[in-house]
Amino acid sequence: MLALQERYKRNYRTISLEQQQILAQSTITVIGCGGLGGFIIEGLARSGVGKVRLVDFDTFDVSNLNRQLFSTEAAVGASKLEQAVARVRVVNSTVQIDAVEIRADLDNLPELVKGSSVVIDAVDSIEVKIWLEQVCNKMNIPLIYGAIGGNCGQMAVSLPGMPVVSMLYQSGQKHGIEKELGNPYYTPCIIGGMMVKLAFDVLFDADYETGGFYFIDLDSYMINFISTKGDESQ
Amino acid sequence: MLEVRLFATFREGREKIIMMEYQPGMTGYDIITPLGIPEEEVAIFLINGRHSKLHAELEDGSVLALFPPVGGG
Repeated sequence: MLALQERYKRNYRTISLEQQQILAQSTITVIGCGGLGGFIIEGLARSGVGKVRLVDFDTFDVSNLNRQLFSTEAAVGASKLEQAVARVRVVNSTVQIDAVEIRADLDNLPELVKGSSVVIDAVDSIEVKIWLEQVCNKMNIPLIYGAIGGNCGQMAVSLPGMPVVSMLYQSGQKHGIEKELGNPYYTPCIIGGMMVKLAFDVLFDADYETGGFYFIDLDSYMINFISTKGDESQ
Repeated sequence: MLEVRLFATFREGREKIIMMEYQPGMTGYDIITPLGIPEEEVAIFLINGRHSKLHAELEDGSVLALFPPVGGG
């Protein structure tokens, strides 16, 4: 307890000791260790989450260097998952790590998210985002959804009976504006950090909005919560 | 009048907020067509802050919002 108090003492005026213990007892699964995933995993490790389950199948490419936290020049071609695990180990050796090198799909997702206190979506595929919500809603696990593109990002808490992700992509788009605009450094950094806060708010049973999504526009430095509780008969 | 708020890439080459003359029977399609926004590029359409379909009929004075899809990770 003393070590815990010392290590996290700069948290306590915002994350209480009681909440710190909730984090230490939590298992958070992050699907994707790239742009959003890198900043999210870093935040979970530094904050003292008890156990993280990390999932990715990909390797670092030179074009990841502009933003993906765990990519380095030396790690181009290396496994994103292995780099994420190595980073968590050096940042916080008390964090238990469960690492699964696999491409998430509808078949393996139930096993991947099982036992999680919260699941965080950091994948770059709209198809997988939709599957992830279906599986988490069905298994009664809160999902923190997030997506980025250019100077924009969006995030949401998806709970059973209140799906958000399926509504956001109901027009059937395969890709978003990120395909054309890419992602600069600050977009995954800011949205990833906010997703960590949102995940903690769910764990702490704090105040957060549901039944819609937060839209973050970095061009105008605006955050809006947009309700998706529309009239489906329209 | 209708107030149309555009987000993200929809603002490229357009104003962020566009005022349009209301005509009875108008739907979301009567908004996106003159703006040159293809239907398949619209991920979210809001009428007065509520999630809606493009074929929903509009009322005078409504505030509309259009968002493209964002899907990166």
